[in-house]
Amino acid sequence: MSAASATVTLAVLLAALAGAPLFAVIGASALAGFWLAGIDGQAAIIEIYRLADTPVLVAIPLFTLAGYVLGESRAPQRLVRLTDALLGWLSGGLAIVALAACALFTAFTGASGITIVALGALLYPALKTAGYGDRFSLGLVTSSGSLGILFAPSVPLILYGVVAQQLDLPVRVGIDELFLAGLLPGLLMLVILSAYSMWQGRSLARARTAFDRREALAALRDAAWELPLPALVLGGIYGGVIALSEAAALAAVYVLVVEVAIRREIALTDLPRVLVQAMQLVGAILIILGVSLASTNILIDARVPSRLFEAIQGIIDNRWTFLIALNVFLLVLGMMLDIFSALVIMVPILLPIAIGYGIDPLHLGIIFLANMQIGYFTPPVGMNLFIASFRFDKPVMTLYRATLPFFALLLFAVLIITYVPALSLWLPR
Amino acid sequence: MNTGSSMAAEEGDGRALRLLHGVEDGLLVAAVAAMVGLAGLQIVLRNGFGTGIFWIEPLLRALVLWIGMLGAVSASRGGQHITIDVLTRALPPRWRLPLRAAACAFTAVVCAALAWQGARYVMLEYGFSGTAFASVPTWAVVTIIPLAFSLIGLRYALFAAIFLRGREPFRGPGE
Repeated sequence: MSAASATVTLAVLLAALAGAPLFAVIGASALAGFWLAGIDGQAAIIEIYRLADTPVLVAIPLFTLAGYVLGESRAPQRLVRLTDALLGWLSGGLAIVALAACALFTAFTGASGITIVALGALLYPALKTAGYGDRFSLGLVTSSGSLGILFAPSVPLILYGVVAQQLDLPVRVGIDELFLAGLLPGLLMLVILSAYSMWQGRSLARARTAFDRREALAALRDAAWELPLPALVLGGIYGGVIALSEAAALAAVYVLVVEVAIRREIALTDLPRVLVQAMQLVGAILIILGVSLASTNILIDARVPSRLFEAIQGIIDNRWTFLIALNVFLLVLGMMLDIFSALVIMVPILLPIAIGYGIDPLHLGIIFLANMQIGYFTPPVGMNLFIASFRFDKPVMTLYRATLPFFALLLFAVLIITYVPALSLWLPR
Repeated sequence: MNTGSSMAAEEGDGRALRLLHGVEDGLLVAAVAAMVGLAGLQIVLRNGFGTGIFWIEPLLRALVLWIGMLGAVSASRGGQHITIDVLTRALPPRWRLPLRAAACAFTAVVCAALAWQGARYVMLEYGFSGTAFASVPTWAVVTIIPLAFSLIGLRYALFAAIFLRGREPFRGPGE
């Protein structure tokens, strides 16, 4: 590394640590990189302009909009009522309700913390009333806030596909294949946490209510407008009937018509506020994606991934050791970076290295996202810890302790996902 | 990231600022409405009538860029951009405020550089007079890049000044 690029790297790292937004940090490295390579700085703008040249990206604002509108309506209440009516009779039923509802909701809203705000506020008091301990209930709603990002149509999964497709890989990484790859690993996490909840709820008489057919029917009728949505979107995507961007458009139009025009739970005058809020998240993600398209270009031109691969190969000679190192690295990464920035910054570097070790890009994507999912509530900076702390008015320290058993269980799930590639690859490949 | 309402404590009487916010939000809402409407129309045309309008697809892609950049402008208002922010959170205000001021100044400078390069690229495309879709020229689509970076940069320059005066211009998540 030359003295000039070392200086730039140091300055940029300092800016990041001082709290400069990541888009500025990455943008600065891209501009400096082009400058050091003697390339006109307009190249950075040409790369950012590629945001307008990637058809799948249309899905991101549309799904996020659908998610925010759902979160603002009373759809979360109806979802909880319905899952409660259908699953509430099981031992540990309410906890499983919470997990299932959160996973479904997060898949649609992309784990932006909205699950904790919209669903956690309903589920936390309900869990406590049913007799679950305060710590268990808090831990459950906080860690469920990121459960479900492995299921279609979650935005992190789409983003991984977009980033991977920019890399010119020898293997195809279809977003439809990613959706299939995430299915079993996501279910594994759901099953493990459900088993833990059943065990926690084994002695709670009040957590068990008999199955009530009339309530189940009433809850079904209550949610009748929302019920076709997952079927439409998931059926369309998994069935290969419609393209992803069409599914996203369908979801956005459908949700707007149902919640604003038919149910009128969001006033037309209030819609712009919801819309702007949703697009602030989209903007924060896309601007980072834009500038990192530019910086990735420099990394690849400088052969950074292949050089790193050669260097790592000197230390780690087999795939399994690499996977252990990868898990440790991603866990630490997840503590510091949120999922979106981690994706756009690290995937272009990690993916070529992982392919060098014979890891399928689909499997890497699932490993990556599963690790990041835990990162959402890993101290000290897991975003969902702060959102839950704010929402439930509890000190962050309490949440650290409350989420610990969930952290251990999901870590166990991540290890299985990492070392059993078939779990991710059986369906798509 | 803070998904809640913008918690920026705007400086000054801010009538001009409110007007600017109104224009930004208006553009953003219009862009999103156009995207939802056109994407919906495309589905109806394709599946209901077996046709389509050829310029909808490239227009939707251009709208992704516009919505992304306008959303980023809107997010910068309350300092809601994604940061690492592990170091400054723990520091006492005496250290934190100047550090954050420096970080905001850094951001403003980077935005200015990107806006400058963006403006040069717009001029270049203007010279090429290429079309993005239908009869919309490419330079018009690209214009949002320097425009957005200018607006974001101005915000962060303002934040830097407020931090330097020993005040917090916005609250981060969980603070």
